[in-house]
Amino acid sequence: MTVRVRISQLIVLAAFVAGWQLITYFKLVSRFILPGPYLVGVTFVEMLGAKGFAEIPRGIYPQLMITLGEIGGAIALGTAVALPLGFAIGMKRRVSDIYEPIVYLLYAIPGIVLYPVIYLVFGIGAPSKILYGAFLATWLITISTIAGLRQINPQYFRLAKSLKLSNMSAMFKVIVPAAAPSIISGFRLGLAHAIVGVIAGEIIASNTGLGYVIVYSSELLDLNLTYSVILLVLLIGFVLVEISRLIERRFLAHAA
Amino acid sequence: MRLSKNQLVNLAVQIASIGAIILVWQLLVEFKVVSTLLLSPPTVVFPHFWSLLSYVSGDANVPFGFEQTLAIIALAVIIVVVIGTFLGFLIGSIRFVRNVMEEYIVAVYALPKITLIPFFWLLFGVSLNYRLGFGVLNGVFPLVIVTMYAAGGVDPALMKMAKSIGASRRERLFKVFLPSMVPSLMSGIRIGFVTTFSAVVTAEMFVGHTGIGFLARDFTNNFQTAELYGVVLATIIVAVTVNLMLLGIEKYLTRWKSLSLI
Repeated sequence: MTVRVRISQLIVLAAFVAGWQLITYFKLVSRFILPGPYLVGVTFVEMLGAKGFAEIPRGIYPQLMITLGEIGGAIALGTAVALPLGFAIGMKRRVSDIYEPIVYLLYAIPGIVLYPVIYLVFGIGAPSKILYGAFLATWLITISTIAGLRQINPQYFRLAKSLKLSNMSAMFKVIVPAAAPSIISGFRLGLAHAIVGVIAGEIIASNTGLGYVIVYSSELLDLNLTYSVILLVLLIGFVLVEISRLIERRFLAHAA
Repeated sequence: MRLSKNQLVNLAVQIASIGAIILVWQLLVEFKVVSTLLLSPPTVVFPHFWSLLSYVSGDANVPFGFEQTLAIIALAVIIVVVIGTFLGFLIGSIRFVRNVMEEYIVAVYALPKITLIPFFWLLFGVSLNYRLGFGVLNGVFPLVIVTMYAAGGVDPALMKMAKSIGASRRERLFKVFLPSMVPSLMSGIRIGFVTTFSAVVTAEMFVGHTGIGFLARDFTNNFQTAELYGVVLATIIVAVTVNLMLLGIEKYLTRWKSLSLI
């Protein structure tokens, strides 16, 4: 990236914040709908301090930990389902010809319509958020696992055979490393979807977590707080996805 | 289109698998493994599901606007495709703009935009615009990203070849540049469709008193389990059918791909 690009990126960001400030300054949008970036910034800092304990039920940090825990559970469950499923379907050409289209159609289901079913069965606690986040994440990871396995050069299989590798070592020395880049990029997309799922679950039906705090504070019309929590959620999403991108880069460097 | 014997066998196994799932679903309830409070059997769900779908074709027995949601989604997808391809094309075809904007767009795409639901709700109130606006916001990013990459990723060798065999500027645009973007554009439209669909239903689930999202939430809260599964099933059928239609269009538009030299 050239310096010119970096500077332009900063200008775009500054223009965004300035535009936001101007819209609220000239009252194009009521401050009961959108408070300005300055106020939100101040409240964000306050929220991480005393205000976070006084005005948020249970306090901001416990709520943050609940949401992070649910995201962790969702991506773990999603991966734990997707990897065996992906390998079961992707290892044999015949099987993947049959079931890959079905997995694609499952991914095409707007998952949100299943959320009421999930909270009907599992209640409004953490399990339903984890399950819903996992559901959104799992198809992407399954699809990318199948794709990763299908695009392996058939020569690799023949090589493993002529080297007389056992099934186990062929799996972990040849097949998994060859499919890893695709699986990991699927994991990154799955993580983003798991975050969306958990937050969506908290916003629609919950009494804990950051999504709940967003709804709670907006119902009290404490919008400075609402937008501060939104900012926090966006930051979490950004940081988690960036971390997985870094991991992906490391693995891709290894594969190259 | 003629199916080969292999494809017929695959299709048969696929249908059998789905049939097996429906059978297991029925048996789970039949043998009382799961309470009917939580899971209605297919035989009970099917009439509700059918009344929702037939309502779409004009038989007004089911209130609350299943078809209203579908109309909003259709409108939102049209807006998404127009805005998304336009912006993506604009950003993707100018290298400097793409270098500046790419990271932002990819980052925003991955963010949980559902956090902005209160903003949309406060801005538009409980109206059609609220659902439409939120659907467009969610659906537009996949299309921008896909178009951006497609516009920047057209094989320069193809363009050069078209030029060297004497294709005019117009011909190069309509016969080479745009057709080579079609596969990624169509997959962008499919992703955009699902994203928009989800977003509109999410918006309805959050607040409001019509539409698929409202129906699902309301039936859950009232423990009207059979009706709930009817809505879920109808939604899945609609989404999957539209997806298959889009796939069919994609296959038709990219039939030149099967002529590839390899």
